[in-house]
Amino acid sequence: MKHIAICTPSISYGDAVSNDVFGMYNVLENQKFKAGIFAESIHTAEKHVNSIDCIYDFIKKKDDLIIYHLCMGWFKGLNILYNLECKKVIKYHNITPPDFFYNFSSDYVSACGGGIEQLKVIAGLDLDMYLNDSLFNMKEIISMGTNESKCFVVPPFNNIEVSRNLKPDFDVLKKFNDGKVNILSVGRIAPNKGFDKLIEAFYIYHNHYNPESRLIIVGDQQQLLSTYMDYLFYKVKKLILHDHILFTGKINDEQLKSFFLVSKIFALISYHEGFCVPLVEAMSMKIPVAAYNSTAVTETVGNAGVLFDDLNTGLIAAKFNEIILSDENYYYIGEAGWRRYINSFTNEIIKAKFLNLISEFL
Amino acid sequence: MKKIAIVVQRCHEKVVGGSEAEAWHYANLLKDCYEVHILTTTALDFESWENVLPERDELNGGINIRRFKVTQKRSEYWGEFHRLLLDDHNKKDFAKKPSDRLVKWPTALQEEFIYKQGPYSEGLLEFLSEKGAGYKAVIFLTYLYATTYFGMFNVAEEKIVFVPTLQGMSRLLIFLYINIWQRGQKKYCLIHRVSMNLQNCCGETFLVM
Repeated sequence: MKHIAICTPSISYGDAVSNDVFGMYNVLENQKFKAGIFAESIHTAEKHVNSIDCIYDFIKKKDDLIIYHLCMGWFKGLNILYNLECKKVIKYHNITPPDFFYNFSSDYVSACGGGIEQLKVIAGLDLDMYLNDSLFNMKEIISMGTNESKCFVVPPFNNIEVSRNLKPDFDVLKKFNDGKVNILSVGRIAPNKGFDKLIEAFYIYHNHYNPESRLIIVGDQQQLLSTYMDYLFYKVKKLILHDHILFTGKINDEQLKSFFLVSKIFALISYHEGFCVPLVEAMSMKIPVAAYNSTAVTETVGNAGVLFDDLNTGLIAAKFNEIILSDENYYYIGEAGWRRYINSFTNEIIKAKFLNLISEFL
Repeated sequence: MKKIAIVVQRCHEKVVGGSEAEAWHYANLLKDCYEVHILTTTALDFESWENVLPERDELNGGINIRRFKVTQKRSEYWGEFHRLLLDDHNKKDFAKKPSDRLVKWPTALQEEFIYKQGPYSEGLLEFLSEKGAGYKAVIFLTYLYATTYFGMFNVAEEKIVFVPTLQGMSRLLIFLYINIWQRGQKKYCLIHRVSMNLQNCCGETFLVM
């Protein structure tokens, strides 16, 4: 029986990388192969997750397959790619350029810088296939020397169908569905996510258009980026928005679902995304998306949301207001997003693309 | 013979219900001129939406009945949603205009309310999405349930005939129903005379039966 190992530096639960890894695993498990997940840093009790050190006992034949989830620099992973003789497929999730972190974290600068260097090495290894979360990622890896004919786009698996059947957190619903207009943004609290600009845009929206509004920022706050958090908190304080902006920190799936449910629009002013799953989560719930037209955001949203090319916060605030005020536009954008999700990003569609592409190794 | 579909949440001789009876009458009126398909669920109980009947096609008096399994019954916590909604609605009781009495929750929350109320049927929606174009028209009965609300998203607007069977405003609580009705209005929206106050809500013209 063919063995398939999905490798990732770190796995937990609920983040985009972990959802994608589990999504691939579930698809392969149902195809009657012996599949396993192998990681160095494990934060889940899932029984199919193994230490990366066990991979040498699992992958033994030349036609066994490794799917390497590339999201950061990882020396153990790189050694595996060098040392194991088997079929090798890369799933490129994206690595944030280190430039975003220069003012905030030297650790991140070196981690992301190292990641980019490894990406260049892996791009040049001429492995069997390079799957990419987005066209944006694919172009990046091709620019580093990968043979174009080996590159394809497969969006990341998501947790949307599971979330749909979750019971929401009624405490969140009662507290935040209070008649105010909630503007939601979801993402790790990191400089590339552009939360500083979002806060500025919200300041104008709140003060000039709708004082009965609230900005909800859902995302993990990491100790290594505490300087960036401090910078955002300072901005909030300076703009006297502390009663109108909520940073939730890391929350559970039920709470996350509830924040989506109580939100009027989903806003993203991110400078760098390799795909951005929260955009799709919002679109699946018919929540209109308003986002900065950058990197992979352009193709994830397509023509099913409002994209702005300009970072003029006054114009962005006006755009928020325009979407929220016009019922007809509001529902049209929401429905367009949902149709984009149904036609492009359901797990069924992603599964079909994924299996079709890797079928030559199965 | 051209085909017409009628979408209704339940259809069985044991079922006593206004919109279900109306759907059956329509089917009988139309069957001489059209091949009529009633698209419904396997549920009999309008609160639990338990799957009771077999998921299969039946022919009854010249009318085709196609039953689809309910994939989202009424959730055990839907009552909490309903209380939340009533609380918000009660705060708006003083409003003079009917449209101002509607609860304008965010879209996603209103949809969650309708979805968790049931009966939601993946099979029915897939069928409408794949086969809806083959019908001359798709008639949706009653505004309240997921079969109508989500069903309408899966049928081309020009095919939709919408019969909300709403008698007064008492059960009309959330704004999203108005939004979805406007899809049906591109073609026809059949309502009863007592529902004329809907015009105050939607500002649109209805065809009154």
